[in-house]
Amino acid sequence: MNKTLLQVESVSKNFGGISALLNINITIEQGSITSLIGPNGAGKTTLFNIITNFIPLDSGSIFFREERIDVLPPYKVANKGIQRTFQLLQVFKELSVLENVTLGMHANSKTGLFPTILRFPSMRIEEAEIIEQSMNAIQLVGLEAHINDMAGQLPFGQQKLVELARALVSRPKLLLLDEPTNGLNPHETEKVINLLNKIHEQGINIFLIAHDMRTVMEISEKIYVLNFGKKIAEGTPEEIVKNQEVVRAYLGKEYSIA
Amino acid sequence: MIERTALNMKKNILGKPLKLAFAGAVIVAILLFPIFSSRITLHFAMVGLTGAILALGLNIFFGYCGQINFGSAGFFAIGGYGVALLDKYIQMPYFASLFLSIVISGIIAFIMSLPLLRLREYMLALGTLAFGMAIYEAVSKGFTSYTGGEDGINISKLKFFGTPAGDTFFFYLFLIAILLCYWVSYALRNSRTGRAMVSISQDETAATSLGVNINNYLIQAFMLSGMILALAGGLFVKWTGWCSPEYFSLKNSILILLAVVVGGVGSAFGAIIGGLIMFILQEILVPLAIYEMLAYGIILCIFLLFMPKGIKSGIISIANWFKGANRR
Repeated sequence: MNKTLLQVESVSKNFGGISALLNINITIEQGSITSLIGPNGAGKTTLFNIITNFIPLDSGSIFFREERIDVLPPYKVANKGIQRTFQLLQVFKELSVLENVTLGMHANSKTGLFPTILRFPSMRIEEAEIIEQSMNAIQLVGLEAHINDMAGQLPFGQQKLVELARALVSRPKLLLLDEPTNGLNPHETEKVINLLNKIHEQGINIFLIAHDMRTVMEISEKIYVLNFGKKIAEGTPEEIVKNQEVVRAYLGKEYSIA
Repeated sequence: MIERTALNMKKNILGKPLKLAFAGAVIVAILLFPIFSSRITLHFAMVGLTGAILALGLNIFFGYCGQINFGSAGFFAIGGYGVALLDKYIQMPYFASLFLSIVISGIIAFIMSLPLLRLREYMLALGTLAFGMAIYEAVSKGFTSYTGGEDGINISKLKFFGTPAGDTFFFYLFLIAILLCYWVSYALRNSRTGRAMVSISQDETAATSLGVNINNYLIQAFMLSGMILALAGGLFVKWTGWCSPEYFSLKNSILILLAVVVGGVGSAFGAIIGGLIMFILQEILVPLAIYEMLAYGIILCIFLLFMPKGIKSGIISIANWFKGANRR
């Protein structure tokens, strides 16, 4: 059942005279963990921003489940089932952990202003559902001891987990993770990798940016390599490690032996 | 900046019988207040209650969504003049005219939100300031043949079976309005919609990434805010029996904003307290005349510098500071 989930077709983006992305083609299959690697400034985060339409693309098109999404406003892209985390943490610092995660359920729920104020029974049922799902997600990332703490007061590693729980609570069809292990210690990194495997087993497709090669090699089924806005390689971890151009541009000599 | 919400509040705050008894005593005291108070203290209390409704109204837009509004008095005026004009020209029954004024205010808020909510921060402050000033100019100098200009409009007394309703009746009416607005704020804050609004105040990028349609929620908050402000206007002018443009000047926009800051931005209960404090203070400070605005400026500076989270957390942190000082 290898159906295409996300298809990025010859996408280009220029910032002024600089070509941030040039003619990028990426395909993400249903049921996969895909990684995006490359040196700093290669355009990885830009590509994420273009997929979620935070930045409009210059040319090309993006299809999500055979529907064109590069014409939709960013919030609608999220409502289609694409959730993301950010390279620089963006949790709601002055909301509790539980409230942060319940906000992740926004895309999955629909009660508006009037049913809320008049407290329709449908609203209460949905609210209970939101809280239950959020508690599950918090348990999954192991933050149940901190549900009432302000997210901004937690240590960095736990804030990353809050952001992750917030992104996965709505059970998105595609989860875009921008450096989920960045700035974490080895123990926390291990935990996040286990978590990603667990999420993947639950049927959530993951597309991640990572610098930590161990993470990438360990969990990815397919890897895309960007350099200066161009795709220089794609393939399984084994193929990428052997690719001379990738080794020269990014991995360095250590990997050329392997 | 965030009040204790049902979600945050797994710890029980009202478990102890002592606290229950205290709360009961406060409620009884409030209910019996108009019977035992003198005319002048009741007058102060009524102005304070109006301030509480106004602050609750602004709190939804300013407190929850984190967007500034310097034109709240404009919506206050729409409510007031709506009731006054409907009373003067077509003798509409009071509660019908109140309802209609609120609806009109909501519609005007929607129309105004289309240009205004493209702005943020300082620019939004200027835009809303212009809106408030425009409404004030319109009612005081613009359509004088209809609004009576600076003289205002005389409003008929509210009557029940021939007997006019007095201050006591309006006191309870204001209390009901406050309860209603507080309930709306509370229900909103603990819902998907309210959380989406608060998320906008904290991080618009993250909110968007979660599927929050920012513009849509800001428009809704602006409308709801404008409708509650209009409710306050409609109640206030009927109580005073007079709709005068001076109620709706820039000073009141600033006072409402101050009330929310004093109460603690984003806290509905704080807004009630802040509204009571600021509007009663305003009545007391009348003898200061031209130095009144200076006093508000000083109050605003004190709160922004020393109690940015409002009077309650300000008092708590002062108390903690003293405890710490004693221990040493």
